[in-house]
Amino acid sequence: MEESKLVKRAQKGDRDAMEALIGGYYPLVFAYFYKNTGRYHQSKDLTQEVFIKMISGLSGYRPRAAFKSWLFAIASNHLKNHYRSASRRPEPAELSEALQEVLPADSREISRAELRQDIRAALEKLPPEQREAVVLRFYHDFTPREIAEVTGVKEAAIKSRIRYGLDKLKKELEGYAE
Amino acid sequence: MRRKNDIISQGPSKEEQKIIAWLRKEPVPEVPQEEVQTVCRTAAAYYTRPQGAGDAGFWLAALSCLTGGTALLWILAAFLLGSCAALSALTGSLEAEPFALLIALSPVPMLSFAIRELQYRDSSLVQLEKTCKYSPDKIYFARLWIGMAFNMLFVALAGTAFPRSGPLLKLLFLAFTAMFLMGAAALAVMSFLESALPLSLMLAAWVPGAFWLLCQDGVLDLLMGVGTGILAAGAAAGLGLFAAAAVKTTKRLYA
Amino acid sequence: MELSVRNVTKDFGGKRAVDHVSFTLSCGVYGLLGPNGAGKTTLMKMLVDILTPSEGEVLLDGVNIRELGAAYRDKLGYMPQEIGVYKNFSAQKFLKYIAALKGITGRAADKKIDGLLDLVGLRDAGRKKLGGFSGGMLRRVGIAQTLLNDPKILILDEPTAGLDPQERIRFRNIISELSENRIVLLSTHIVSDMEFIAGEVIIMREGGILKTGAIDHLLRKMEGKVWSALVSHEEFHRMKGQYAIGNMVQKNGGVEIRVIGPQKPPLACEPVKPILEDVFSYYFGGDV
Repeated sequence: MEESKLVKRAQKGDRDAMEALIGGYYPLVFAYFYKNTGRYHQSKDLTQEVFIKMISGLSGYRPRAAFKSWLFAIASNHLKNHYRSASRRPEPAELSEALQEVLPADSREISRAELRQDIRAALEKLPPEQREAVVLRFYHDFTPREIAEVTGVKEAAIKSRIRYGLDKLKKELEGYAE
Repeated sequence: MRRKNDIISQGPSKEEQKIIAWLRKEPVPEVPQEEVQTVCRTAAAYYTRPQGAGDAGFWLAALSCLTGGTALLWILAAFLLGSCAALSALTGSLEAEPFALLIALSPVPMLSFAIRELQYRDSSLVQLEKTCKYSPDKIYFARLWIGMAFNMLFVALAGTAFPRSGPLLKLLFLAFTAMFLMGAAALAVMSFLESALPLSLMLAAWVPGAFWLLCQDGVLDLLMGVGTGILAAGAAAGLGLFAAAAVKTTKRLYA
Repeated sequence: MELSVRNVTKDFGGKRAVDHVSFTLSCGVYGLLGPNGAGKTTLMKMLVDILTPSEGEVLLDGVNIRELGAAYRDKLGYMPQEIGVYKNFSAQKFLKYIAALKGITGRAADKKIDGLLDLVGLRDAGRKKLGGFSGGMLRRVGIAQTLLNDPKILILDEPTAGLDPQERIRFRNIISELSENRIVLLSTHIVSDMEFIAGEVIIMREGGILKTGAIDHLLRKMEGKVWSALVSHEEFHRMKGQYAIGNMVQKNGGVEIRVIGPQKPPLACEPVKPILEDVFSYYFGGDV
């Protein structure tokens, strides 16, 4: 079913439509949080919280904005709140299951695994706002204008964040990119 | 040297393309489908109907919150009784414009409604109301408009039945203006004093005072000489004042 | 479903009523215990979003309840300490009004109201004006209105105050039945009610949390610290300042007291099984 029809039905209280919308966007929203935080369990919690916010605020959605942008605006705001409250209290350590890689025997596999870990480490070294901009631009394929709508920040500032973020990643991953 | 933000205008360099490709390929762990289904069900349970003009359930709740049909009947009865009693006195002994009576009586239903609301108001109940699904301030705001709508309907119906010496539309605009202005004044008194007594005094002073004024030589004729458009604008301005007073009063009573 | 209180604080002018309180509730019955002025009512008002915390937040499933708004209130049933009613209304009419505010109208409301009046033992008094109701009857109306929307979260402030023993037993049974798949938080200073209904307690003092835990666990920790003794009036007065004294009963020849402390008091006494009141006396020195 066309997304706009699904959204309309969900706004009217159609439970199946709501669940279909959530199910459809779950992987994207989860990936957004995972790419930004690197934490599997935390990303699942944040994803659920965003969908709760989405459903409870669904009557406020107007079709003049793309649904995806509206949803990601909720996610972006939620991520900011998460960082703010995390800075006030210590976060429990979490080993991402995906990162608990057993190093393979093949040397090519080893270097791929090391590359993945280094990409993760390089991303985590970015300031949160640059990381977010880079993830939205290059993983979720949002245009800078769409990212500006999602984050509530001016387009020029978004372009700078993407630029600086990519420059920092280049520096961190110098050995690999050559 | 590359300009700032060249990545957007000229596309990424080869080096940057590699990094972008790695970023895209960075694996994202999969969440088991049963967990996703659980999230779907959990989140969907948070759906609640919007509280606004478009929600029939909201208006039904607002109507149900009106203190029973008895309040409306009481208000209507008071209005009709007052009109009949005054009319019979008028036709019996005075040479007076019956429509002046209608204009003077027009705010009675709304003011009676407001007085009754205040008599029932209890601050500990307000706290309980605030924890209900429908915001009590929105419900109260809706009730004010339902009350005003009924008031307009009564006045319009009564207006068609009253004998008159001028065009009906002009007379109704005058009656509506009186209604809206007194309604706004009543709400202002409610929000600052939160007591039924001043409202009752207002009503007691307005009805005979307005009737006496409108019965003075030439007053009603002067008003009837004003253009229909201007009278309509006056009524609209009164409506605007009432709307503003309704918003402010609601906010104050349910702060 | 999880209701989390994170670092919640409430100041009124210069006075701190709730001081950096944190806990998480999931399905089950929780008791909020504490003397008058401990901050229980203020905390509960923040849980139902009548009061805004000066610091901290209240979250349901990780989302701030202020952001959830009507979606949170739809799941909520609140019984305030002071029940405000329209005195000219009958019980039925009042419940119909509250039901409308909760989005329940028409036949569905009527059916629900009849069932609830039955449940709280007010079916015969349903058409009588609330102005003529006793305190206990009003409290029962308060309990009924709490359940109108079949809430998943019940916040009850002193629900059994003013109820006679039979009504209290009825109330306990209602809560026990409801507690499956619901979060129930009730505050009381009638400690014995808590022991029968709640699985866990949160003990508050001067705005902060003194102790939390399963009742069983708290009672086990008190084992070996509670003694029963029959003492003379003079001995009793002497002991009052030195030991935490729990329940006391006038008997022929003296006063039977429960003494709470880490060591056996120097008098003829025997160890007894601790009850929740003893826990309270231990922490508040008998100021129940």
